[in-house]
Amino acid sequence: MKNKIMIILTLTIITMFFVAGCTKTKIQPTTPTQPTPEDTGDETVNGLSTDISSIEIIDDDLDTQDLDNLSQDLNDLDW
Amino acid sequence: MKKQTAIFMLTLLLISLVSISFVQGKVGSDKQGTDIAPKGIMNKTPKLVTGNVSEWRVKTTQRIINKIGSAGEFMQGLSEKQTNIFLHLSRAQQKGILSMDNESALQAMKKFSLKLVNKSFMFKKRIIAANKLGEAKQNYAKAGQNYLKALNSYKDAKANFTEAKEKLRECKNVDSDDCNELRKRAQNHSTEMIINSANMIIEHLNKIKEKVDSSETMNETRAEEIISEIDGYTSELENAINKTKSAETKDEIKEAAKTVSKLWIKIRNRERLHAASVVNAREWGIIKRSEHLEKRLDQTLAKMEEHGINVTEINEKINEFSAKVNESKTKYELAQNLTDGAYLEENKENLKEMVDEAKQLINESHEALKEANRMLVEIVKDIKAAGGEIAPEEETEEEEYEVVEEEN
Repeated sequence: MKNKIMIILTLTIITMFFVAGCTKTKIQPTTPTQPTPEDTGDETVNGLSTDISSIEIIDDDLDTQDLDNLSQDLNDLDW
Repeated sequence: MKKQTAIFMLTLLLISLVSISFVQGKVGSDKQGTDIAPKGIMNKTPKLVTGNVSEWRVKTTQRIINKIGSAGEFMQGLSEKQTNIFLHLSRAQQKGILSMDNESALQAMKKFSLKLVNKSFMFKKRIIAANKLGEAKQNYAKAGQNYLKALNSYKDAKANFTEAKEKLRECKNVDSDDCNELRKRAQNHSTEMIINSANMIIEHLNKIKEKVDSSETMNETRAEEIISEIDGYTSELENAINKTKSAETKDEIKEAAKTVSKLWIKIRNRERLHAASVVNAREWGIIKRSEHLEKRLDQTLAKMEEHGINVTEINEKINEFSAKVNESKTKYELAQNLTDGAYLEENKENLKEMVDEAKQLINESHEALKEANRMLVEIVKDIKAAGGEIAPEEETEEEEYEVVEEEN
């Protein structure tokens, strides 16, 4: 009886090792909504990430929403 | 007991047999990646192997060709020169050509040629001295501060003017000291509004000018055109400011306000076009660098295969990365064609439509580039996790071959 239990336990352990060993390890993908560029350890890749972010900053900075109603304001200038 | 031991041994044997066959299957699939398949280009065009084409280019193309049945016939139809060009195309470009029928694919190949490019100009259209770049950066920051200052002053002047105007409602046909004082205040605040609005436009234009002046990804001719145009607008706005300062009567002030308003209407879509050009030029630089990086990834994969590392999954991810960069490039080119056309457009409405459309395409190009970059970060991680290392930038040669696509 004791031996039977030992065999069952050993088999279970071996099966567990087998299953765990053969399971494909998946690399977790980067979160797509990451706001800041990630350090990949590669200068070129990091540089690209930084430059992509900087384009958005420039695009926002050169936006002229503040000046949208300028002509209207000036044309209505009367008192 | 004996029976139990026998069962145990048999089970162990069975388990080990399953695992052995599993491992063998994996090794087999790894090997397939490096083998030169019968329909491979090395067999079809042996001249490649002896030529100056790097082996990693052949390997990359081989992986793509292996998946497309009709590729062999297409490769046979290419001259040695065309084969060399084909090997220098990006994965997405190769796939695009191979998805066509044989005749169209051979026709499409005629548009491409190889050009030897100095490495300094691979990602730049002009070189700007470091001190000039630094100066432009400082000027840009200064213009930004001045813009904000003018914006705040404009808002204050507008609030004060509106307040005075409200109070003046009770002064209709009243010639009291208080009412005259209010009229004077309204006049002063309106003058401030006009001057600050002109200053806001000037500083905004200065910001664009500094970005253009320091853009190494914009060609010299376009940069000069924009700067010259901005200088012209600035001069007109400064004249309008002087006119406003010297205005004494209400009518003169109203006239000055109309002048600045008209100027802004004239400038508005042109400055949007210039700003879009600045952004699109930057996109170009990033697309070029991404394309170049794809080649480094291909070299990396070839090295990893040599070391017996399974690259199947990473290879697929690089295909996706290449497709995204290509998508971004296509949108960039469409936007570029639109902005080029917009520079010649004189009709205001048409110009606005063209700029709107170009900006939309630039945004789409940028989104594709962001997506490509996310994929790239993942690829780099996968390569490292698999025990590979990104191939370093080759610094030995000063020139490199680049594929040039003839414009229609």
